[in-house]
Amino acid sequence: MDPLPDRFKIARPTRAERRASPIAAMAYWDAEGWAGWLMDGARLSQSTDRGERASAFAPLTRHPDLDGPKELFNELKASVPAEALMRMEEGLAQCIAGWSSDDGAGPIRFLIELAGDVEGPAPRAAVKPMLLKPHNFRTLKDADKLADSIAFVLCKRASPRAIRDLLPLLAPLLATSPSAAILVAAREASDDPGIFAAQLRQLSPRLFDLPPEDRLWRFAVNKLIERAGVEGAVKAVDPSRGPDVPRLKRALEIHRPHEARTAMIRQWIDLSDVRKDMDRLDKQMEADALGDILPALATASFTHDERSTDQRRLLN
Amino acid sequence: MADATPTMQLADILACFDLGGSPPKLRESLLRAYLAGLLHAVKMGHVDNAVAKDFIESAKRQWSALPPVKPVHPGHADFSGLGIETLWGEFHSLLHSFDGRMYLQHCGMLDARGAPPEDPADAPLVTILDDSVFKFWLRDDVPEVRFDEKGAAQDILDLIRACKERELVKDGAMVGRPNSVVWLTPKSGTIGKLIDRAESMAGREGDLENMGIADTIRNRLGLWQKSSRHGVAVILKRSYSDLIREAAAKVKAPTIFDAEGYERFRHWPSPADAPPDRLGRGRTYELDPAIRVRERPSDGAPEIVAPARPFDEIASIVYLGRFGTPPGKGESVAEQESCAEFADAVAGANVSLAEIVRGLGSVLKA
Repeated sequence: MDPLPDRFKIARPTRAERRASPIAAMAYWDAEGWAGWLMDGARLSQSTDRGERASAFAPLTRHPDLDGPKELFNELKASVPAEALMRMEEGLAQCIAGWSSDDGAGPIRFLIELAGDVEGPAPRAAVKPMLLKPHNFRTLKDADKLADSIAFVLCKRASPRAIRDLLPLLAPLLATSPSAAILVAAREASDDPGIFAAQLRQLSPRLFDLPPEDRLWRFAVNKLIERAGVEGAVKAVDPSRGPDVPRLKRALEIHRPHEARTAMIRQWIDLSDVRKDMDRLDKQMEADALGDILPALATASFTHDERSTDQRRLLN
Repeated sequence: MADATPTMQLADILACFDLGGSPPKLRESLLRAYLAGLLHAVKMGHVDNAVAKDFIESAKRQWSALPPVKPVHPGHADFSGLGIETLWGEFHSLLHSFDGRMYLQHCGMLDARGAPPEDPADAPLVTILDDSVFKFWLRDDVPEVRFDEKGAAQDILDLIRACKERELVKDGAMVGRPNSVVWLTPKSGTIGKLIDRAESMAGREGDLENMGIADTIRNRLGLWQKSSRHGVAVILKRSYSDLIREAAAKVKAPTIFDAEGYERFRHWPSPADAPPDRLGRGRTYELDPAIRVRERPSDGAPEIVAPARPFDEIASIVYLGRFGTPPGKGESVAEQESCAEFADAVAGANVSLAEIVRGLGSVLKA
């Protein structure tokens, strides 16, 4: 067996140190100690008893109703040194990799969301061994919520390529939650927006049974714009991208009309080939198919869209 | 009900204080601020002596039961094996486990007369919340609700819109949690202007961020825990003068019991010689040190607490932008210093934790 890396070599606290501060003593816990503390805390955090919820993750203090994984991580960061946090991450990875569906979805959701906040990649990488084990997600209570948690963390911290590698394992779980499927498809669209509609069809066919007015479609176009920007939305609704595009385009027109107009104009006037596109514009005018173009042109900006919530600059 | 046979004297806990660290430990400062808040409240008649004594006896029972604490002789216990952080942890969980029983204990009278023009008593009341509130209000079939962290401002604007659709609102949704209280402040003065400004920006996240509206409001209201989430202002149809006329609304100035261990709650007035609020309300602690120093001791804004209000009383919800990190938060030493300053502001700079414990022991004969 290889020797442990230095960061796992732990000095034991003296009695006086333990006495002075139980929180300071957390700095001396090994990965197994952290795993036990995290699992117990995550279970207590799901308790129906408010007092039990308040005591979850003692000796740290947290609000029993309001504080979630993010607040726990902030408290940990303020309370223990960086080396101890690395061992905590190792313990967290152990908890996630070791999960079985018999443990229920509640506590592990909390820990997976915590994995979205920590610095190191190990807890997020542990999702793969977790999914490799046989699970029956159709019978798991709250499987859809587990799907949401995993999708949220992957989309927040994993690259589109890493998500693509994980998709074969993740697909059965994503099938339980259209919102999780949308999140994953939108994250992939940040690399290649053109595949968004087809990816939605593959991950969540149920979505295409819903009318484009449905709030899930609104969520889908919001996430597309958030991840891929208005430029990406233009590419995603390009008619050449397959039979699923019209539904997405209609949803964009309903829920984000301003961005839809921009998309419409950019499809008509592609400045990469002015002659070809002016010709196309002429044909559209002759066919009286331009509809809203004049009012749209009056308000359109080709450099910066004030009203969009394009988050690419934040994400990068 | 007070314990007739106390297991220890309150002053026994002094044995576990290891005071004199610079800056003082975080939990030492918090315990100091909370016990000072209780002492002020008892001395000013804001909290009934019997209630305060009952609470301290409960804390003593909880502290005495901790493993390193040993009974030494009747009425005393040896706390020398315990860390002050554990004392705070137990105190904090006690504040939570009391549930609704101890809340709204302030005995002070509220009055709508004599309000200055810049702080009118009939201004609508507002509570500042973060995006986590929507999961308590809206059904799971609103997809944005299903994720603890929200995405861009558009998510919040859609959630705000969903609150107007009755069929999407959960049965029993309230402003404030069950068994707890809602914190309200008048929508007037700086707070009112900033909320109006945010409303006029209609969710433009970048502009709101540049103007720091969410952070300025958060700082003024002492909302230390609010960072990195989106902020919203929930404006009620009710005003202070109209709520205090309604006995069933049970509006009060806040005490430590309402604050449940919140890291920047101060009992008002504090220190005791600060000017009381003309209308009998509490006052928040300004988080921005530059503003706090300039406006001391009346920094912050007026605040009151009430049991959760019906969801139908919401007049509007305004998106404020995303909260950044509060001043002094994040880095361990800076956080300790900031917490020590807060404890000084509540207890009085020259009043130590040991003096407060002795003071409470003597006032409550605990």
